[in-house]
Amino acid sequence: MDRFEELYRRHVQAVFRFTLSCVSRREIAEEITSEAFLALLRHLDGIDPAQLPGWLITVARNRALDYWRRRATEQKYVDGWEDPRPVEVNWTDAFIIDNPDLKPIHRLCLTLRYVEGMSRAEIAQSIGVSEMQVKGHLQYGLQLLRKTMAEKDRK
Amino acid sequence: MNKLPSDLDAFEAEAIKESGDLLDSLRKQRSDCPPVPMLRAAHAGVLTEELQSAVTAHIAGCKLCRVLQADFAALDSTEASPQEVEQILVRVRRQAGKSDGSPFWRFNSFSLRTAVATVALALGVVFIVWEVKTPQQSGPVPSPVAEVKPTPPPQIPEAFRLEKPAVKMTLGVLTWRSNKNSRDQFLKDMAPALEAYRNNNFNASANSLQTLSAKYSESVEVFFYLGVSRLFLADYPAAIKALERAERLADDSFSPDVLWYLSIGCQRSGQTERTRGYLNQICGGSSGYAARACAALKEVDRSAAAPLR
Repeated sequence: MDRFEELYRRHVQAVFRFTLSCVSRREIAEEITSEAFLALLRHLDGIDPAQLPGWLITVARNRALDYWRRRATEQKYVDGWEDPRPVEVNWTDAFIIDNPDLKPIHRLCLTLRYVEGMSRAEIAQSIGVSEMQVKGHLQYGLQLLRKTMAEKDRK
Repeated sequence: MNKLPSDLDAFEAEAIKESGDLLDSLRKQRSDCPPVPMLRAAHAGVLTEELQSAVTAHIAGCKLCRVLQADFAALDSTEASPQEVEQILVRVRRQAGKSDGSPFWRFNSFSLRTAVATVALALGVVFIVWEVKTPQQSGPVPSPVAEVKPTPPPQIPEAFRLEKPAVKMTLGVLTWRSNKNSRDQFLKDMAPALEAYRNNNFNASANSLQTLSAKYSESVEVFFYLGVSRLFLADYPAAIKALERAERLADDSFSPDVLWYLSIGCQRSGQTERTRGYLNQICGGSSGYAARACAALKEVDRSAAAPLR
């Protein structure tokens, strides 16, 4: 294993994880991560390993900024955001947001599927788990939802 | 307002029915919110100034978005898979060989090392494309911050981003095979390859599909997903070969998909005229790829005027 590959294997996960959080799409995160490491390879002799992974993450951040600049059309949504619509059902918070039985992973799966309308495969891609795991998280969340609804009906 | 997914199973449908207007209410609320990728990007601080402040202002007053953003930030499952780690390394080596003007022996050595690493990990085969080299860049080592301005052009135009198509089957799978047993056998044979494909293990999916291509030489599914897997491995000649075969076998339901991925393969191989030909076909049609193909055509015309770096 050469010096570059050693550095690559040591830092690739940190760079990829950061990049994925910036762009949310694995194929683009792969592309940006590869660009960061390509920059490292080109300037390997001038980089102090103590600067890593910070140096790589800064390169990745700049590429992510470019990505969002290119998506300038998204800005058409800006006007409607500043005044969020109030939740119309007052117990939504209790079930989705403040429910101690619902872990973040369950809440994400439920929200991405039944609020954002994503397929199980898309959710699996987005949060980095298998489709089977997504299915399991959804089943748990729905069972909890049914239980909550039954309790609400009893009251 | 977002719609419920179209592939709900019976359990989901029943639970949603029982939930009354809870999920409807949430969908209505989220329809006025920034999209999820933007919430995540805002957390990382990589939006444009205007977007960043708009999203931040929104989140301050929207508990649901705040919670979603925090949930994503707390995820610990967003590492690259072993296959992705190898793919990124292959891509870096390939780009380095393509643009640093390194001598043949050095490029070859990189390719071999990378291929050996990939074979060891995924028990697959990686084919590495040796492309035309461009002059070496020279100059002092830049600080990463200095690279923000001026913004370098993307190496691959946005319109040609490679996105993985979902798995689907042609109606032909149900009709052209002589009996139920042979159809079931086909689906059984395909299952491991498609599972690997779904999990982004493109080495494994390409290898399985390559093996299946001898047995199912008339299956558009085999050649299409083989071609797409090869594209993700950056093995463009093999991708094009598989997709050309898929093109000959495709019915109307697969034809636009095949043409689109052929155009990507040709674009990445530098075959501009072929790329333009495929894009013209798609752009003039009414498939879901038409708008992207028309945008990609503009990219091709622009790059013909000023070649992409």
